[in-house]
Amino acid sequence: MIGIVIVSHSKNLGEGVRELAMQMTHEKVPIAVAAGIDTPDTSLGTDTSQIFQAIESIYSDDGVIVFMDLGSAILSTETAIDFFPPHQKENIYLCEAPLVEGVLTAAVQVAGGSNIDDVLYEARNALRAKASQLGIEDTTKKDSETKSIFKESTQEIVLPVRNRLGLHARPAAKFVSTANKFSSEIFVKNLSKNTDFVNAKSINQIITLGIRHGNKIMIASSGIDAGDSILALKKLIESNFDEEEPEFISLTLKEEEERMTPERRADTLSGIPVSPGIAIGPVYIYRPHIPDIPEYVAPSPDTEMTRFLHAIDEVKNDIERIRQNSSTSMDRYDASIFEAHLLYLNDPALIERTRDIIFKEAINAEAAWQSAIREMIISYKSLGDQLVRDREVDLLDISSQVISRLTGIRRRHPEPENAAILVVGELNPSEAAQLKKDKILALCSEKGNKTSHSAIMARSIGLPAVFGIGEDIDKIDENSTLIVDGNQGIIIMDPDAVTLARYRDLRDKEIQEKQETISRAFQKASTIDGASVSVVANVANITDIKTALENGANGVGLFRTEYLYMNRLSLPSEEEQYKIYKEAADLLGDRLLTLRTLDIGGDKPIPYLNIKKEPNPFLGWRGLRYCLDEIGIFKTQLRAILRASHERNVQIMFPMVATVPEVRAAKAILVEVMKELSQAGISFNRDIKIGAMIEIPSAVVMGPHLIKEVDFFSLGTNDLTQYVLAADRSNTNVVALCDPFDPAVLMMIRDTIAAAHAAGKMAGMCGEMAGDLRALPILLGLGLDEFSMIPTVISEWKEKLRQTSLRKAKELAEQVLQCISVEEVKSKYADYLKE
Amino acid sequence: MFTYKDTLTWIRLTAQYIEENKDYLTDLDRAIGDADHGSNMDRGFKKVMKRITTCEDEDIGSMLNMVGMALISSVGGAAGPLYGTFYLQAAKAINSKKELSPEDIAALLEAGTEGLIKRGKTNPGDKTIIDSLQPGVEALKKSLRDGNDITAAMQDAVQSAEEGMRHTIPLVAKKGRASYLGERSAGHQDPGATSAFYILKALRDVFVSG
Repeated sequence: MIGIVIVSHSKNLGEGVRELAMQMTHEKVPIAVAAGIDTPDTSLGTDTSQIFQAIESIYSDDGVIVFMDLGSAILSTETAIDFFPPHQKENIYLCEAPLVEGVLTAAVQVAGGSNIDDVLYEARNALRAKASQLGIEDTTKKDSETKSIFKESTQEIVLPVRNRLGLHARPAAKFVSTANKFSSEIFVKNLSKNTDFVNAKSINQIITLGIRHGNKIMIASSGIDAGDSILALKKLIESNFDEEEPEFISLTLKEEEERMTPERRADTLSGIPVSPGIAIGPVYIYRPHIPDIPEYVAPSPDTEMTRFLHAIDEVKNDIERIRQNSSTSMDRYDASIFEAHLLYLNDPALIERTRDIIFKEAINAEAAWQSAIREMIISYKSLGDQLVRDREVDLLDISSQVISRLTGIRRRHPEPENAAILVVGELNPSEAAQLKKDKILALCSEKGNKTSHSAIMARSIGLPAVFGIGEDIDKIDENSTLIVDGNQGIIIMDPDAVTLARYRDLRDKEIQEKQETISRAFQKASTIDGASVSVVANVANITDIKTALENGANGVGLFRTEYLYMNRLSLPSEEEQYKIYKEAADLLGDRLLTLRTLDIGGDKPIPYLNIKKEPNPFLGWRGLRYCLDEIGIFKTQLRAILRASHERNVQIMFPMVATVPEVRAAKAILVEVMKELSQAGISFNRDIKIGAMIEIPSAVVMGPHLIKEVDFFSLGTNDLTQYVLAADRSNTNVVALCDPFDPAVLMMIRDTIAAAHAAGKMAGMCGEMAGDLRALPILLGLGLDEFSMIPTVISEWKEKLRQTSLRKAKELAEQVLQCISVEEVKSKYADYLKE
Repeated sequence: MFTYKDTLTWIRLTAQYIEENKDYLTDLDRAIGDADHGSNMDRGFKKVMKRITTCEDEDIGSMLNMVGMALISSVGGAAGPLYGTFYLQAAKAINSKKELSPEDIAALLEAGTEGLIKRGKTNPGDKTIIDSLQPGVEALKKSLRDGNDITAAMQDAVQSAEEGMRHTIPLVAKKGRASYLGERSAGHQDPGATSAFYILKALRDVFVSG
């Protein structure tokens, strides 16, 4: 839902405006207030961080509109917005409307379900009502109203609407398509119902005017063809919208052009290649059962309405379920289509229309709903825009879902017993989302094209598909064998042996190539002598994960969650963190995601955390130490991680562990959070694996005890090195000492691995050393199980591993452990290279 | 070279001048605004001083960044985001440098001023901070170009800033609360231009005293 933020110098003023707006909308609309400051000398002022938090508290991608009182309110708001990431920033609008009128108007619009443009438009014209009440409208109208909407000279006309049904779906669509032929900005309002101006080029907005027979409307147009547009619309209205059958632009015309026309034989059908690949197999014809909708007189419209609204709610729940389940089976397919379906189910135009029909015609809910849908589809069709017409499929989809809920007749899903090629008239998105790849070899559809949702879906799961085959599809026999060539858009029925052999070859070659590409990127990392290790990535955000996957990472060994806390004015919320962790884990699929809990300290200042500058930040209040003191922050993060762990391969890693009691304390907090989640009925992985970062010498020494508390170790060599050698790596005078190849560090690594292995557990490394090609044979020889490195070095590292022998690496490791200086280690290493 | 310690001195002196002239700034603001500029700025720089420490290994960019964030989060009026932006942009211009050349100093002041102009959408002559800050920065650049050393160049900068500040007296305010007064804002010195003058004066005094 769109959110509203009130920014004012005065807390009283801000809260007062909110109260007024709440009263109008019955508290449905999210409204946040950032007003006043908290200082000893004055309470008047604006505070950037308060504004940031207010916006953030109600932010959604639907948009946020900020209303400000004066001067610094604007500056502070602009500054606050700079802290949002670009994709959120573009959804935040600063509105110049007068504070009280603007907020009230916007709140009412939001409560009514308007989109952001409409809400902004209405808010900006919020002074009109007051002006008209004061009788100022007549003199200022052209100035204040028209100027704000139109840039150039405006032409207006007032007309009665005389056709029988008024501007209902089809005439409205005609009206909109006529308006769209002109470049002028055209607005319409229903004078009889005293509505506001709406955009004449938007079908949904026009429908909201509720123009009925006899209503007077005002059309205002501005632009170079303003006069012509007014004339054309006038003609359309005066001709009563040519109330004969509308001319539909042929649905297949455009697609005909796109169609490939290879040599057409009697046994070959052609269509639009929408998803590449070749499939050969038996036919499964899916004829969706469209229940027969009887129309009857319903004695109680109230009962029908209740049934209808109940069915709508049930379908919303169904969609929510499909959406959640489909995230795995659909893989990367953009589930936004379901958002669109939910929007339709909330669309007042559809719901109100159905209510109208139920009450006016006193018929059953099913029939009323169907006719509301039909009207909407007709309006879409006459728009002549391919993308809009594609949405007809969506409407039919939700329509049949609602009807199925109303009638209790369940929809069958296309699922053949044995793997087969699915042949359909048209596949609904909700059906497409439930396709199982092991049961469906390819998809052939009478209708549809590349932009259809089921086409996007087919591409995303790699299903060959040919759409837009047309009526010829009826020629496909249920008992035939089909070749579907998704590269060329051809379907061959009952191919002869030669064709069959040729296509089998093609198909096998394709499959082989695909597998080779995959295996090259994800080839197992193993040595000459066949020993393999896990190669994972160090990442800080989603983009890194994508890079890591492209480079063949086996998972994420270190997700630096502290980056979520940086460059902002307040803590990331649980929800925000959860979303990112979940997205990260979903991207990785079965591969492991290791989330390191907040690792900050005096050297990584985060203004709102109030960590003071310390003389020795590396020995200071940081990592796990900080989290154990700031339990609130820690618990929020753990909740987010645990929630993301539900049915996902997620594990937790604590940074800067110095002692066993620290880990016990962290685990106790984790258990507490688990309890809270259980009580709230929120699912998570109870057996989530916990790891400790080994970067402090005390943790190495206590390794055998520490490992009893956790499931794995991960060596942080950057810090470990500077702690072992007591040399600050940022101090140029001593940085030379900071060498991870120092035998003391190598022995620490050996002991850590030994402690883990003795307990039958795993030891990995996520410090820079893990991705260092020179360190590879030594670490391998020391028995390290997992190497976590920056994504871009993975392929090179793996290549190096493939040239390495485990036996020789072990020999090298034994030798370097005997060394007494870095120089000696390096000379042994040089000898190893010579061999 | 201008070191981290020098930067610290600059910020300290700024805070000191603001504190000493707190009432004066507020009085100026009372004439044409909402009588809070002095107390707002003083509160902001007190917060800055609270956060500042004497850690030697930190870079100048991080410190200016901290100053900007502290001002944004503690100055209630328009000055918070404006001066906050000034320091944040200044920090960006010099990144993690630990020592600044005279050219770096000019660059940081210029970047800060540009950021401030963008944030406030201000033009010279609008009776704002810019009216002292910009002539000051321009004078600094010119003086350096003419071959003067930084101490002399800063003297020139402060002189020009002071002239700019005095020149705001007859101006009619175009921005901020003062703009609501229209013609009546003429005849008073702009408090923002005055506080900006102190910032430059503090910088000069780092060189003059050191």
